[in-house]
Amino acid sequence: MISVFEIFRVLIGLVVFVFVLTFFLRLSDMYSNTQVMGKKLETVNTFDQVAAQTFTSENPTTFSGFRDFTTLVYEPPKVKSDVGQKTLSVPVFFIPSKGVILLEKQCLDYNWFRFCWVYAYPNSTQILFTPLENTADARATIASIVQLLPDSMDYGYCSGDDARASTKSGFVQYLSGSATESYQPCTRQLPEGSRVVVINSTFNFSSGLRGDAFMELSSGKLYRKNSTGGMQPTGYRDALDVAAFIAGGEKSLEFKRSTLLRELAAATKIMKERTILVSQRLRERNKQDCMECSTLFPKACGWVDFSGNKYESLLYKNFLSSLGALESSMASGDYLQQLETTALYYESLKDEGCE
Amino acid sequence: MMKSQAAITEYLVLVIMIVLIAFIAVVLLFGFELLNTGTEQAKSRERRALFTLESFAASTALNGPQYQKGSFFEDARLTAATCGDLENLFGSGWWAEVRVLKDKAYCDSLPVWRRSKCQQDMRREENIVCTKQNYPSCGIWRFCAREEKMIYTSVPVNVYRKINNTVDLGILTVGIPSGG
Amino acid sequence: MEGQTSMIAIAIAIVMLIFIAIFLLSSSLGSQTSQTLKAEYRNLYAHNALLSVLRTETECGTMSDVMKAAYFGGGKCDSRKFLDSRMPGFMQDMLNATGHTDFDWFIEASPQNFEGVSLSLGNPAVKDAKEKWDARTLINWEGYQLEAKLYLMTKV
Repeated sequence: MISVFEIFRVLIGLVVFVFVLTFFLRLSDMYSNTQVMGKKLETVNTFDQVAAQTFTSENPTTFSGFRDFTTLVYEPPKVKSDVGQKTLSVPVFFIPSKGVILLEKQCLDYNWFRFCWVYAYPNSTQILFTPLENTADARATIASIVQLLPDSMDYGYCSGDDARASTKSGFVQYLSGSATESYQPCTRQLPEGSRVVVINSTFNFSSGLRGDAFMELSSGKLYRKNSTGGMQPTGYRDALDVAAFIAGGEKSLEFKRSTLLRELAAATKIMKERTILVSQRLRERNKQDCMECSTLFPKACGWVDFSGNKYESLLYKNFLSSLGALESSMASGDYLQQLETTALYYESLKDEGCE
Repeated sequence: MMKSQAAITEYLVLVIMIVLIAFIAVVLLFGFELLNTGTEQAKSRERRALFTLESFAASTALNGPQYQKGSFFEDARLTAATCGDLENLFGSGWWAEVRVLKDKAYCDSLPVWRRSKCQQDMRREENIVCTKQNYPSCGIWRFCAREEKMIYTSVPVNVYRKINNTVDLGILTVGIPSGG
Repeated sequence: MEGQTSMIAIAIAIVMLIFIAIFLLSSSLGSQTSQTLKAEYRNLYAHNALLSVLRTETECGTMSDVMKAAYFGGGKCDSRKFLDSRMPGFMQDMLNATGHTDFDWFIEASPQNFEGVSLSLGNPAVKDAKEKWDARTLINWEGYQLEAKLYLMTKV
């Protein structure tokens, strides 16, 4: 006969067993979730590090860690994923992908100021152009955009059912000899990662034109389909605006503008203060009043001795006033022309050995 | 009766000890995870310090145009730059210092009566923090707020003295807060 | 009861041992990432140290010019003597100022595209050390190329 004690043992054993089993099942579920989330967080951090390393080392790299992610959206400068938001350390134009991502640094060089960013895009990306009116202007516009896009991406055209892509240099060469080609709206089924940029002087969207970005040359507007299917316009000022738009839409474009403006404002302020400081110290060193002599010595550094008198050269003065004009133009947003002017004045300073 | 009571007690003690082992195992597991997270955070700060150092060293706003490879600061640009300007370029949450290392051995090449003054001048220059008023007779540039607990990292650099047109050896030090 | 108690004690001991093992294993794996960071910093340090010293100007020209003259001749001063007397001072000041008094160094300038002997400065034992890191740069003179290499190691 079974004793009470034995029944007690069986019962308490069952209770403890069920409790411990439930506890460990819950724990392992919680633990594995923590592990998975921890791994995903590490992946996002690693992506940030890889982008930062590409930025500082200037060497192209690859990254493939987003395979298991459900959510992956780029709202510059933040990457939104399964593990929340992460602000990237460097300016990145990111086309999210769960496959292999190529990272490449690119810069705009204005002599005394450099604006750099990192492209991060799937290795299957190709940018195809459809210039509906094949004018010299359209071809020049395409060439200027392509120059600012990654070297390792493929570029080409899509016309009707014909779509061809090649390397950057191959495509630029093709463009220069393609004056007689005519292009139809793209109808071909393209592989994932392809982006079609349609270029025309004006657009009529009622005909259901296909593309990822539309450049209207007459108005300087870029169009892209919004979530409701309508066409959203935004203005563009330069090829980098278009390149940013192609990479990530309007948010990418706004990000590029705000980042460039912020860095340019800081760099201009530093350069202006520095040029004033240098001019002042050079003048104090020479301990004489300046006599402007623009017709005699327009191209000397600092000070020039002539007939027993010292003359301050105009090179630094010209550069300084161009920096002042650049600061004023930043307020209106139309600063690129002025930026190019400052680059030319700085080049003159370098040519004369002043810098 | 007493014997069965003792057996029940013994059994209960056994069960409690088993549950205790399980509890210890869980605590150790989570403690270990927390330790890992702490280590990861420390590594993340070290990485950030290194990245800030590299960005600073390579910045075109601070480097002279002669060397494209960076780490060739121009003293006038260092003097003109402020913390706010550099935060707009590199982000915030760091402290930086550039200091010149004067070549004191040069003084030994001078006549004896000039050596002492030469060394004094060099030592003074090395210890003066630069402002727009004392430029170029200074040798330290500091940017942003320094906190009590920071991780520091340093590398050798050059400082181009624009007015005298010479190049000095220098040290760039970057600090990142080490707190949580 | 005694037997059961000792079994429990053994079980606790085994659990503790397992966790210590996991901890040690993951510490060693974790330190691999720290090692990568350390290597990155050391390489940056060596690269900057070499370039900065060579670009520094002295009364005899830049240290790179002095090295060139010490090897090929010419220059404003007795370049070999100047290099031997000044380079250790530069290197030591630099190491001290960056808090690396525990580093030792060796610099070697060797011909790249012609036959010739190498010019050395510092502690030669650094070059043969098991754990060392280095940086290199080229010095050109009239078509001849010298490779200047800096080796660094932690003093034992």
